[in-house]
Amino acid sequence: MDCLSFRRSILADPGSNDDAIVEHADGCKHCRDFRADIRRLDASIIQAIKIPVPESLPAKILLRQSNRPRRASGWRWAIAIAACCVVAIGIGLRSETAESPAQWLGAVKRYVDRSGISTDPAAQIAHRDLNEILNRIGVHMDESIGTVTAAIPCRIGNRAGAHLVITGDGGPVTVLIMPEADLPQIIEFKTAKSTGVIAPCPRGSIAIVGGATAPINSIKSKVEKAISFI
Amino acid sequence: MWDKKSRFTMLVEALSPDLYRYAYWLVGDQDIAEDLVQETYMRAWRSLDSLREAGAAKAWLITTLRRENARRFSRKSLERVDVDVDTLEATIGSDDKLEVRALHQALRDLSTDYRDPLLLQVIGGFNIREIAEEMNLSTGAVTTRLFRARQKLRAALDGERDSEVSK
Repeated sequence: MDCLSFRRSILADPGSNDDAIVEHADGCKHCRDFRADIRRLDASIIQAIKIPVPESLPAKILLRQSNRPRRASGWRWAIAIAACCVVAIGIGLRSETAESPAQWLGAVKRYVDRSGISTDPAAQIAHRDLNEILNRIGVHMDESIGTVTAAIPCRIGNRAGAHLVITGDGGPVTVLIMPEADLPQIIEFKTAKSTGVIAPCPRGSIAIVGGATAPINSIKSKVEKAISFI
Repeated sequence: MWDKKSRFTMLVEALSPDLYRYAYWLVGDQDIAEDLVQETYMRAWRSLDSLREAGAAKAWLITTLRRENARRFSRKSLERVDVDVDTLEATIGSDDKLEVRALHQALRDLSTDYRDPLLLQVIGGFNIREIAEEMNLSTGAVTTRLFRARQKLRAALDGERDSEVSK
């Protein structure tokens, strides 16, 4: 192999370890340097290609797949997609890492404001599917907490969590499972349209947020009783 | 033995970032890239049983994504889009190296004939023979395209360095 063929081969495949390539490189310092140069170029290309990926992408794909078998009618599908999109916007939004109770309260409020709680009331997440999502953040749901109509992995306060929506007589209620939110006390809050509570668990915390008249405390008790940490 | 859903979840979590990046450089638009990746995974779900080797998953998904993109073209008769430099600029942090910016621009400027095989090699991990099969070209043609793609990127980078030195 001559220098020209070597360089052509290396430009086409910098990682090539063909015998002829190796043999030529061993005996030609200029070509060895050329190969090192092109390998550096490739490292830079790899770096340049690595554009940021939307954080919510895996969750959107999994949610879309889990909704597939239901073969919902047109309007139900539209609602589900709308809910996914709204929720996904929330997942994609970056926020500062929460540490203090005040920061966690801010993170939960921001998350709920941005994600919305709209969902398809007719959809129902199977208990097994729910646990598949929760297991990924080290949580297991031992018993039913009601009709769960949405369940996705999410990030709250820049920490991994899960976002569930329970739909009952009092309307949809958002349940956030936050295994990395260590809080010293229960925080209750109210806004003009919603009411919520963030409560510490044996590991991390849970947040329950719903409409002004939603049965927040009874759902909180149910969730506390139902979840365990792996 | 993993069930279908666990395998699928693993494929999504492990490979969706690379698939998104591949799609992004292929179509030049973040939203279309995201749609394309989602469509690809939906199609992959339907034929997941045909994937025998876990090691072949990335190549399989990239091939599926290319077909999905071709369907998109045939459905809508879309023109091929260039990567939007404004979008790209928005994704680069201000402290990123000039070299990366120069390469972004150079990648954008590469014709798709050169960019496609390079992406398959660098992101997809395809070898020259596999790229040739994927693109329906001879191995000689692929070798030439890869060779020229890197030549152009190298020249662009050298030009950027020279202009920085002369400033």
